[in-house]
Amino acid sequence: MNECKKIERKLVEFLEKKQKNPDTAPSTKVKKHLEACQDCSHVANSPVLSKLFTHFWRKAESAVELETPDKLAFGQIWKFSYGAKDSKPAFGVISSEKFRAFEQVSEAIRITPIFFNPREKELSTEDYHIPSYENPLEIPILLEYWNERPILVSQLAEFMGMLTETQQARLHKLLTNPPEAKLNRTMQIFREYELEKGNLYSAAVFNELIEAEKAYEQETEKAPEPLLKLVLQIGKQIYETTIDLINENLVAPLKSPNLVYAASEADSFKKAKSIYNNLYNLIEENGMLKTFEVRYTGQGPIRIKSSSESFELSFIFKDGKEETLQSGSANKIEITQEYLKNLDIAQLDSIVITAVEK
Amino acid sequence: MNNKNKFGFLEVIESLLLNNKRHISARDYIELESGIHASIRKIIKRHELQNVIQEEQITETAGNFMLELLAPSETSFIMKLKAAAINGSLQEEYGYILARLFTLLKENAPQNVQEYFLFSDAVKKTLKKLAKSDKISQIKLGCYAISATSELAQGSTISFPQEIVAKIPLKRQLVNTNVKNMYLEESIIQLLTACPAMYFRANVIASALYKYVEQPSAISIEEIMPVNSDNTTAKNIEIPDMSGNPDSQMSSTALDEAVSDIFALFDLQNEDKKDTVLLCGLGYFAKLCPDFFTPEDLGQDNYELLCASALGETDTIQIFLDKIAKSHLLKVKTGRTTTSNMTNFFKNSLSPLLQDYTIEEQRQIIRALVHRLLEEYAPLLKSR
Repeated sequence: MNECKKIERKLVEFLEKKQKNPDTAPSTKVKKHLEACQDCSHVANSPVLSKLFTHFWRKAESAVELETPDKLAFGQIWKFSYGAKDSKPAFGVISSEKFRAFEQVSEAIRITPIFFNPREKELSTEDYHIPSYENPLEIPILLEYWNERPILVSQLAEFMGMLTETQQARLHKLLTNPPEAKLNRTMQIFREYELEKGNLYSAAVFNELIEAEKAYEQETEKAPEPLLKLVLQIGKQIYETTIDLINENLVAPLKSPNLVYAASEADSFKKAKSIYNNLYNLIEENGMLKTFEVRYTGQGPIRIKSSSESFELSFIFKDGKEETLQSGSANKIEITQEYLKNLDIAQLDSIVITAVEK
Repeated sequence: MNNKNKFGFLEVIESLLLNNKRHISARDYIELESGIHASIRKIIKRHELQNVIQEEQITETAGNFMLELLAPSETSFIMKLKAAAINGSLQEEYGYILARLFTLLKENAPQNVQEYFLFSDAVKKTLKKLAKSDKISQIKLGCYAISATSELAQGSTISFPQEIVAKIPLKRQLVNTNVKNMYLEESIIQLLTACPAMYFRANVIASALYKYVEQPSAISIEEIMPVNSDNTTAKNIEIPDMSGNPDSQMSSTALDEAVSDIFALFDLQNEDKKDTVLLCGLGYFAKLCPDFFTPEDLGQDNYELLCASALGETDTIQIFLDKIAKSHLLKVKTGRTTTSNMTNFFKNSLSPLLQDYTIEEQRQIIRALVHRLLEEYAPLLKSR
């Protein structure tokens, strides 16, 4: 085998000439090797194998070895792991600096997930897809800027290349100023599926946060300042915010198309997202602050928590009926998947949060 | 082909596509060539094409396939193969390769083989139609007998018993009639009636009948099959409008074709492990989308286990397999590792087959696939 490797270059040169002119004779050295080596002789005598052999030998010769950069930076493409040990890896473009806003949790980083070989029907006019010849993976890719999210730095497995500066600029623009995409049902379903998959990418980050919160709750009754900071830094993907509940009702009218869609799909995940979105809007629109949190990680219950006040959360239905949940000892309400399953969301009129005196 | 060799040639392809600096020797290229040849032979055997495909077509198909690896342009096949290679999924790569080789084999085939494919498709459609109208019985997927009442043995996988074929009048009918639909139906019934204690794969039946078609050039699919007004393919599905038009539903023909393709490729890839892999698939879907199932479909016990228990995926499927193996004396291995491997095998085999469809279409196909799996394994799901 070593002999074969030594003569490879000369063999390739001979085969390239032979492909152009079949009468080309090998040099004495090559001839001698071909007489002695059955494998090389078989390849040399097969027009197809000989073409493959020369083509890929030249390609390997000119390939530039990819060096893993010293620092993580915007625009780098990485393979990363998620889920069970034997799950397929996923790919993403780094879209933030590393961060660790809370000492009990691991370092995290935001990524824009990559989808291979996007299907035309599922792409909106605002989607950013890059053809195979313009990216280092050499296959058509979609940059899911609408699915940007945190993962743990330890999930990153292999550096795969860089986006060009122009591509980085375009991605940056999409992330900082996302366009309003017009989505048909096919596109909407694709995005929802990818967002669900994205929740799995970020599960490790969320799980660490939940664990950190649990640990903190055992130590103190008050919500920790550092945890709130962390939540804000991780941003919208953790689906969390804070408000000030000032003894008045916060009412969320349920008019969003998202809710109508969720009602038609009757899927508890979509219901949960819809309820979450409405709670989020309710809190955001009222411009409140400090001690009120609404959280939904894409799995498990929606958690609404106030660190200082008891409260009630009421679902008001169109027919005037009302279902009220009351916060427990930790000033927390959890809307479980089981509860959501039985909630007739299409009949909902509004959600009301009311402070309750202890 | 054993697993080592199978994945050996796939690893060569992976190295070529990813240009991953692994030294590729002349020996590797020979392994590549023989792996591709072996895969083509496997397809030929599975489709009972031994009598119609010549050695030179195998060489030509293998050559065309290998030259595709050189293609500088973005062929959809190479892009999908590359994505699977980047993901490091050899099983997925193998699925793409088998599907591509079959397509190339059909494309490279001379007129007589093209005619055979048309004929074989017509026989398969006629078999389904006959089974639907209870004129024959589908014993298991793609296998038919005249009746399911007696204990049946599997008929030859190579050919129909000649002494029986010689006695029945189908020969005369097929030779003399340009194979009109009604004669094909009659011939199939005669053939299966002649062997009442056996069941046969559709490909064996097609292969047996084809020997008696004297003028294959006279065959046209339109003649054999009535024109179906509902024969839109997956590629023709309209994009729904912004309001969420229900027209995004795939036609039943397109769904049926997609599911049949899935079963054909599973058959090809998994051979003797097929039942275990598909039962793992059924368990996996029940765990993943319980809404697709009812207690009547699965049996109350299985339903509670698969759709409502809090156990993890592998544990649930393992218990499910174990239960079936014990109550139906099915020869399946039910160890935890085997279950996990077979379930992953199912997922990885399915993935390339769905790749061309949108998520919306994939959901419809999966629902249809679940339906077909339930039909296929209904006898095993009932408690004994």
